[in-house]
Amino acid sequence: MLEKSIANDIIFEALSLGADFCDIFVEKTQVESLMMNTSKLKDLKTGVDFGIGIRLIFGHKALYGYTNSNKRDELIKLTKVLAQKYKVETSHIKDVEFKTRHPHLVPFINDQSVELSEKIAKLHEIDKQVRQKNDFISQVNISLLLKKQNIEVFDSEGLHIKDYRPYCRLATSAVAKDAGEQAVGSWAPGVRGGYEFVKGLDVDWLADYTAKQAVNVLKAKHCPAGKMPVVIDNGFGGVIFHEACGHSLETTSVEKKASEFWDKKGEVIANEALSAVDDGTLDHLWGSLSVDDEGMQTQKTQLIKNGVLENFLCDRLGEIKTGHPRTGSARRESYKFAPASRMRNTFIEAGNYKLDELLAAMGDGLYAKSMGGGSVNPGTGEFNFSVQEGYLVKNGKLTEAVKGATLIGKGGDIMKNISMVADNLDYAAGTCGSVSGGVPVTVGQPAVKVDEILVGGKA
Amino acid sequence: MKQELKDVLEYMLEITQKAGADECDAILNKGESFSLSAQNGDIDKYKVSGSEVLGVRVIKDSKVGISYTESFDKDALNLAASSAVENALNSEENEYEHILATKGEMIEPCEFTKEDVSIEEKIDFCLRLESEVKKKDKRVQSVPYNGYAENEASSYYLSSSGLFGFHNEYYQSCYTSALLQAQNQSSMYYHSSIGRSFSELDLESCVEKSIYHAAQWLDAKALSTGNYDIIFTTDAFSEILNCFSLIYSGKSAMEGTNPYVDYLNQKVMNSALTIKDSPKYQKAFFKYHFDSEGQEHKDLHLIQDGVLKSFYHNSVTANYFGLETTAHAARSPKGGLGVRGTTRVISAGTLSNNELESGEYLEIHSLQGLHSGADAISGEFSFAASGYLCRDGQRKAPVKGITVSGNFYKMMKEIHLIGDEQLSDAQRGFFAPKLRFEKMSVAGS
Repeated sequence: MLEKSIANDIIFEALSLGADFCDIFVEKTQVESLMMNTSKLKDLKTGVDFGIGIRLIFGHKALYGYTNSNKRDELIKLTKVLAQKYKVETSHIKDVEFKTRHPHLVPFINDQSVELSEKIAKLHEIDKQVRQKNDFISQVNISLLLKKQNIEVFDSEGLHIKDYRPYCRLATSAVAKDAGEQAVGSWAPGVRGGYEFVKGLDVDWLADYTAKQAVNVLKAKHCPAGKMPVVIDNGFGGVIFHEACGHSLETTSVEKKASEFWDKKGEVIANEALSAVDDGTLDHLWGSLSVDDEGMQTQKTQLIKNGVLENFLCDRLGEIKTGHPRTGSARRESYKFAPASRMRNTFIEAGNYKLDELLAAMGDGLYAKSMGGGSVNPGTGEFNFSVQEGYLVKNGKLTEAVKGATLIGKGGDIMKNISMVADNLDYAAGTCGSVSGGVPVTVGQPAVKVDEILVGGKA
Repeated sequence: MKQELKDVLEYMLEITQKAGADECDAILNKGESFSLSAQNGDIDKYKVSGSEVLGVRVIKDSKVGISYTESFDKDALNLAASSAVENALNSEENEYEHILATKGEMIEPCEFTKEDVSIEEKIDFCLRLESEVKKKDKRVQSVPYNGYAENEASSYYLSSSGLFGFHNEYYQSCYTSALLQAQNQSSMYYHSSIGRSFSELDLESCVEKSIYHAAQWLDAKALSTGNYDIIFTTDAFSEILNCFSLIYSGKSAMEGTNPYVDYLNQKVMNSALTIKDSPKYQKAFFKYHFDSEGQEHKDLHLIQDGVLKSFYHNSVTANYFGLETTAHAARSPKGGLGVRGTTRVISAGTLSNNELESGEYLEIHSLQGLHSGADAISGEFSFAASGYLCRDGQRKAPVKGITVSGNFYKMMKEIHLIGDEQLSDAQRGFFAPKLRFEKMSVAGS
């Protein structure tokens, strides 16, 4: 996408101006998006994103610029503008010899092209099936996103690498309505892959899941407020670890001491029942990578083992600032963002208990069957996340459905309160927003029992 | 305004019509920005950017297709044109969507002049965003989020009906934060400032507010779970309103997800409440002159004396409901036609601060979990919150580690008291008096 000679000229210019390091990120992404509501295809669009980001590192300073142009003059001008304040004229700079490397490819689901009419027909099928599941369903919204991202990275250490990243995500939401009250149920799986993923979905299951969730929430009572034990089920329940701990393990926070764990490597930060990893290498998963956005091969990183903090997630700048080793975790939404250490597929590892054993051990409390999103302030560790579908538990048995619950706490506290981990590990796709934009991530966990957490609800 | 970008738009429409479009329009956005942030007494992030994107919308056989490109070479433009037509052909009939038959030019007045500020001054200013916070309190562990930014954005519009529009915007902003730590407790607060010029940025206020609230909340405790009267700051209340902004949307009404779809001209909020969309509100930072279909903005009553008077409409939603557009069309180059509000203003009531703030209440300053803790369809919300327990207008104790929960639609019917002084949020995009809500659910210790 970018001629090697131009990349060489940019890097030569950057180093001549005194930069310690320079890298170039080239991106071309084809986007196809379909949206259906009121049983009609309402929005069909395609487009191409193209841009180039140039980063110069002077000591601990990162200078970043981007443009849509791939012209030599424009790119050299941008490099000079970036360095204007910090330049130190240097001689004896040699041309960089780029050694093209071929990334280890994380397998993705076949993305061969499919006729648009087939995709539209699939959305109609889903719409019809969701509506047929329950008379309370008043509306169905479906969106299908297909992205083909091509990236290329050059750096002043001679790296030249290309990667191809196909993404496919289908989001379905059902609105249930009764006597002026409304509620929504949703499911939004995604893969690193193409439309073949949608072809393989069990539409009947998908329709049943979203419709049932909407109706259950519609009929639910308000969740009682206060501190109580909670069992959080698998899959998207993993957002608890993502928010309560994961963000605080990114060197983006650690390097600023804006993490409650910044100086806790090697120390116990969680219950010994808890082990967690961030693994970019898993086949097909939404957050998987072959190489990260600095061109480094991604890897599996053990974050916590039996409660002990083992590793942080680290990018190049994080390594310079903290000394922790890079983990192939440098990520960005697009060329418009400088890379930063970010999560990939982050999950609590499976334990030995069954879900029923967790509920029985809890006795009375809240069972969070599915979670909404959440957020965290890594500096203080204060997090929050919402319960999408929840049930009260009495004597270890599910009773009535409840709505409007939010769980809040501090990461350090909650990690110590996870006392039981089940064996039903599952994953779910999400989009994580942070300093380098929104990136595809997977959250995951088996069901976990939290001994006590503050539940926001009706007082 | 750059003639070469206008030429790109004209070329785009020409090739799109040649590709078979019955009607079409195109938007071209160009942006430039510069930003800095500091860590440990030095600049650690320095960012310069320039971007361009062009999006074309096609109507073909009463069907709509959209395509965009970030590259303006002829091959890329031709691909965008043919893709938009092809998308329209593959789409389904949409009897309500047309390119408006308006002709002429709409060029918005320029409301800024750029100051000549050196890069050294900007760097010094950014370094002070960190150092001034650190100077104020020994308990400051770090200033994790701080920065200075300037942004310029231009938008060009051209339709096959012969309407050309141009809009240019420039502003600067700064923000800082204070992360305090003592005795295993930590707290953080963040404040920002926006201005048309460098000298308008309020660094001192950002520093003072960040330190004040972070220091107060360092020793804060959670309240006992129970029901409390609550007054939200204008910023916090603006955030809540934004979570439920689909109640004003003609698009969500058309799509059947707006809970107020069947309540036009019926009472939906407290009868003392009037909410207006005011695009050229004098005190607002941003002024809005035309919408994305080239229609001139004007004031619109959304809620009058508690009665729902109108939704935001573009030409499509207006056609669907058999109404006139309210000139609230919104479209980005990468998106389809939607609706968007401008500056929302809640009319002041009659109660003095003394009357509004009598007795005990919670003053909520900060809310977390806004994107996940609110369900706009059902109205249910539950947010983590920080603030102060107050009595008779005086702050008695800082409070954190609580949640505030309720149902937005019920809450707006049950507003207890409305103040007589109109306040603005920090971005000067929302104006409202203080509102007191009675006996809201609070979860704490």
